[in-house]
Amino acid sequence: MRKISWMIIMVMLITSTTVVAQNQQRPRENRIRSAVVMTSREVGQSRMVVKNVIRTSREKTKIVQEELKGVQSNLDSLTPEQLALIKKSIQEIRSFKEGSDVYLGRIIAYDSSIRKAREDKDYETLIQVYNEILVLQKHRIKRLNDYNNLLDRLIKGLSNIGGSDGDFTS
Amino acid sequence: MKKRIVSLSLLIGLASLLLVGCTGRQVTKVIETPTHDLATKEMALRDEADETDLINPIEQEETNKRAEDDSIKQYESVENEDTTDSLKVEVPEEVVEGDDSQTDEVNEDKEETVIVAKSENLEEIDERALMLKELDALLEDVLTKLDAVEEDDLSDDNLFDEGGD
Repeated sequence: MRKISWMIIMVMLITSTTVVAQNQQRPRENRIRSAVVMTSREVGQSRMVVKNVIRTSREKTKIVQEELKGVQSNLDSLTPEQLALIKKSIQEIRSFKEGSDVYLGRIIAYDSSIRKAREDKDYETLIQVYNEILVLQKHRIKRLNDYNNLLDRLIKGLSNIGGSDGDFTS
Repeated sequence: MKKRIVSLSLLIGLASLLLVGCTGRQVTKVIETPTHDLATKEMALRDEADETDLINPIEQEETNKRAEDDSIKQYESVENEDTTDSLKVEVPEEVVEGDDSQTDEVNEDKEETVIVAKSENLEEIDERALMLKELDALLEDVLTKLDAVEEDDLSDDNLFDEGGD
């Protein structure tokens, strides 16, 4: 009888410690999962920013193209400052375009590694990959904003055809 | 009685060892756990390092490409001078302007040729018109590039949400 009661006590003790250990494991997994969700959300938000900046770039590019049509019929009225602005813009747009070539395909390349990490439930790798994507997105946003600023200067400079006031090259 | 005390103390010792073992395990894991705060801080730190790691090779590549392009452009400008000179001699104005039975590609080349052929020498080419044309062409390229940049994105199902996995 005594032996049985000791056995019962032993079993109870071991089970309770195992249950405690399991409960401690669960919050850990939950914490990692929530970290993945948060990082993924940041990527999603950054993705929206990239889309918006691209839309702005597209609109501004079309505005500049329209301005150029107007300038082409009024070439004589281009001031030296405006010519300098156009020259500088050509160089900057060219380097923007070449830079974009270098970056193209970098984000989409992460698709397969994300899929694999999700299948393996490798949350730490997922966080790392999302962080790398965030860095690329930030860089992309910065480049696009620089391009948009350049277009702003061009729009401002070209819309003043005939007037020589102001330096648009800065 | 003594036996009971000994076995009880053994049991207590065993249980406490198990508990200590579990607690120790928990502490180790918690330290390793990247909570969101930790992940954010880590991310900020990593950002600088990663950005340098990720961007530096790209910028290096970009610089190399630009240097390459510059040398190509220099080569092309030298070559173009030669070509335009030869064009002036070889292609009569009427032939260039009047020929409409070419493919689109040839027509583009012809457009360039028309500008060159219309003037008697390079100095008379309206630099302004050429610059505007170049800028316009660049902007058109950028528009195409923007489409490609927009497509270089994660697919929707690769964003992790609460209900996922």
